[in-house]
Amino acid sequence: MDRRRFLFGLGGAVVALPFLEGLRDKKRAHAGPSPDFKFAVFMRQANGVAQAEGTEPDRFWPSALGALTTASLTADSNRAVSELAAYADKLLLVKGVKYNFPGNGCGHSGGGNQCLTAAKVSDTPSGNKSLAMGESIDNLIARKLNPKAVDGSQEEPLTLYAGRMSGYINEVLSYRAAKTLRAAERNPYNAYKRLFGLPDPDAVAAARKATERKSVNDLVRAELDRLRKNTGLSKADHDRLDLHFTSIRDLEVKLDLQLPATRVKEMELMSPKVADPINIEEITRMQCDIIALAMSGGLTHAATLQIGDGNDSTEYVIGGVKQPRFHQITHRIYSDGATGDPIPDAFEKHHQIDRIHARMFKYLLDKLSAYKLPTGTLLDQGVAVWTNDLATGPGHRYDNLPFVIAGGAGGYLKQGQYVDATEAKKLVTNNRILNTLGAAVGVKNAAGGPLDDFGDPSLTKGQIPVMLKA
Amino acid sequence: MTASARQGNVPELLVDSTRFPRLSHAQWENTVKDLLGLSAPSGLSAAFTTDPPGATFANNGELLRVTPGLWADYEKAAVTLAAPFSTDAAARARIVPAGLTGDDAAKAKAFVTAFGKRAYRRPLTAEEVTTYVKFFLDAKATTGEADGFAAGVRMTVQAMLQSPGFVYRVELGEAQPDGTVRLTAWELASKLSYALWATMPDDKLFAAAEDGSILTPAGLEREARRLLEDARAVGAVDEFHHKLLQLEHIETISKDTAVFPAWKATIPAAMQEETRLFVRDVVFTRNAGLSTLLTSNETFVNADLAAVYGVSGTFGAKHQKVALDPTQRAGFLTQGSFLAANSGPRETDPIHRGVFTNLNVICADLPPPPMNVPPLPKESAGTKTMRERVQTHTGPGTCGAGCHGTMINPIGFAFESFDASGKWRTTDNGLPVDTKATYEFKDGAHTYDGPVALAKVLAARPQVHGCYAQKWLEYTYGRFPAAGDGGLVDRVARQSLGGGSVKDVIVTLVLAPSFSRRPAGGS
Repeated sequence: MDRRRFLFGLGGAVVALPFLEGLRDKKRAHAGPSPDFKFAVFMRQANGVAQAEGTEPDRFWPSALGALTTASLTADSNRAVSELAAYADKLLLVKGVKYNFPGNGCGHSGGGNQCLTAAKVSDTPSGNKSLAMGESIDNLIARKLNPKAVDGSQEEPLTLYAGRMSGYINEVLSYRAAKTLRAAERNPYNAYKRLFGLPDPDAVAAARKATERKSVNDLVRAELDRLRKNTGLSKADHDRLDLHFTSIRDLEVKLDLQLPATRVKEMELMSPKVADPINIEEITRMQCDIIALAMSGGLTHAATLQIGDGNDSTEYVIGGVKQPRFHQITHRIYSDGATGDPIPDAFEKHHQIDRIHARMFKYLLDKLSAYKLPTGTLLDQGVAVWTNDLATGPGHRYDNLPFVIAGGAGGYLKQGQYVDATEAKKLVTNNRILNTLGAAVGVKNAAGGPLDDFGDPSLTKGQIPVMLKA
Repeated sequence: MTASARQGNVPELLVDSTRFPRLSHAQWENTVKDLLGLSAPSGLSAAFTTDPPGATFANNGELLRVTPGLWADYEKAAVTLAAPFSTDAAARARIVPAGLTGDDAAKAKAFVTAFGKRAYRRPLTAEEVTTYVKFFLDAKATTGEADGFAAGVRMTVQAMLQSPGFVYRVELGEAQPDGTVRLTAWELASKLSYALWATMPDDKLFAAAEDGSILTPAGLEREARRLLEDARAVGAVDEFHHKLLQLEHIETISKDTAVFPAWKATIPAAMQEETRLFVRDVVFTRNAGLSTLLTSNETFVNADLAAVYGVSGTFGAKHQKVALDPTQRAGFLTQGSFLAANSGPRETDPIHRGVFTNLNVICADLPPPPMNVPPLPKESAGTKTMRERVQTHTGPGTCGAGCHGTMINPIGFAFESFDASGKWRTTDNGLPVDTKATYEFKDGAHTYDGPVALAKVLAARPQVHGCYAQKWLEYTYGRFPAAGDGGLVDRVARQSLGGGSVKDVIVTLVLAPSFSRRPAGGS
């Protein structure tokens, strides 16, 4: 069956309409791409962006706060975010957010520690080995929102990676708890196999099986629907039949979740080459394909995609020319330290690498937008976030972090806006933006209100009001 | 709940339960075998997603659900089981009525009607027949197979094996003039069949549903007694006692051969088999009841067990019926499957022997043990018996006195004349064993000395017969016992205490109003 029609059907228009109508109001036993399914994807770039610092001008943000349009972003063509002009009406750009805590001997590590945790940086270990002292927001979202199986097991947040792992600082993003970093999968083929299995090599037989399955399931669904209409059923019996119905749908969704066989083959061929930095952009796109597919099936409510290692030293290709290591470009010298020969046009190169990341983020938005639902696209139901574990390159600063958000989480967040989170001329701490994003996808605080207490307990609680749709 | 009948002091009430008890995995396996005419169980259920724990028996409909994992299992099994019907004419012949004539639609209708009645365990409604006949006739196009009839049979089997009518024992019932809801004849036939056989009804039981005779007490009793004489009832009685007596425990035990030089790896299986044969003998050959299960000194031993029990004579690998010393052995609580399973590798475990008996034989209300209980103090050679060590650790004056001192220890100590392998003994750690104790039953305190005396005390207690009746209710009704069952449990307990056989207990339970009715108004 055509994938888009199928999703549309799950939304309530094709299959067993009355039954799905009945389910819609309830807390679902199992997630799916339904109008109430929300998700968050965090894509993280390293090394800061080419924004104003010292004598360097801003080449990242739009030129003015306020409404974003395709025209306004196109006019800002020397800014990195102009790459996202086509998505202007879906964007929420937030300036004025900082990491609160100092690093512990390594700016990159300390930034990575705080990026999705808003937690302190560990005393020990320290330096490039430092760890976050709390769980990350993707972990919290998955823990709170991913359905629990009968045996108590729960799908993890999808934790993906693109590029080399140098061993100096590898994964930085996803924490199960203080000092407990989650490993990331950098091979798209492995990630795909684990989540979706491999496509049936016999496409004709597979299609036949799918047709047979659907014909049987339609019969079973109709019978369940008749049973459900009996009067006097207890709530437990209603729940029993609901679970049965959901179980049928879950298997259909799962079996239907497939990328084209040619794309899976490309992943297989890429498999031995995932450590080669030359492939970082294509691997990022493959990981984006996987994330979008996973979200379309409601497999998990949170995903992270880390691009490059802790101080990304990928040699990006600009205009067909392989460049010096990104980390050195952000230091503006041929060195990972403080002294070295200057890299010509380093700031411009940094800006161009920001644009590469912007285009990779756009690819993710393209993929999420390709899934059509009755209420809009898959992107509209969630949030995709492009951020960084540093604000700037040369200074390794923790203030005015780049936050590019797309998708309004079903109307929770403003869209088509560039806003300033600053309060009383002070930058706000990043727990506030993580609270806002967590709340946007449905995470509650202990009192049942929108999430407002994530991160280190010493931080000022709350969300960022200027991000919220009035 | 609605009062329906009053017997004795406690009223017998109707109890509500799920309308959709799902087949247990064992019931599914048996049913598939019978429905498809297989020569042996398919074995497919062994790989099914396991059901949640929480009940004594695996057939508790309140707990059984079609989860995503199980639905995938059902689908896979249905595809596998249905596949031969496309390609194998002999397989088709087992489920397709012979001599079908007419056009495709007529043949499809005949098959759907006949097979559907067995799969759903009731006649399909006219609407269902129409739906399935269309589905059958569409199968040629759906499957792309050349033989449309074969494809129709395969797809119909595949669909029916996944249908709610098959995977649940649907019990919608029919409202009665008094407001209560009575199971239909077909629903009652299924409930009886799954209670006594753990599988679908046979043709005779279907006939009793068809002519409505099962709805009369005489008709229901006739069928219940007929089913109990069938070999399929042995499987259900085996399953009931296997779970009740936790016979799987013995499979995983080991004994220290430094302490028990004669212990062999084959003994646990022999002990399990002994109890199974013993129960079958009491229930089916001797047509006796719980008192006999608790007190009979006749059992089944092979060469391995003869050594443990000290039986002289020639024995091989096969079990033979023997009479053991009646001063030492009385019933299943003096058999190795209980004694050796509830012991350590070297020493007896009076605490676990006591807990097991309290929970499964007396149905005493034992709270769960506290957290972080320290182990028994280490043995100092030749100074204390196990009883003395347990007493010091848990008895009067310790924090364990409440449960251990009054409930667990008095039972466990009676079994101290059996060592950890189940062998009779008169000394423990070089000191004489002391097996005298007093237990406060609901009808008062009773004092006994040793396992045989304890077994006789247990066999004379209404509470113990009530416990057994309650467990049988849980198994045959496929639900947890409820407060409203108290009157029925009392009635069955009196019957059992008065010498009623296990079969009589089962028949009384299935004849009770609450087997075939639910209270007015639902839940």
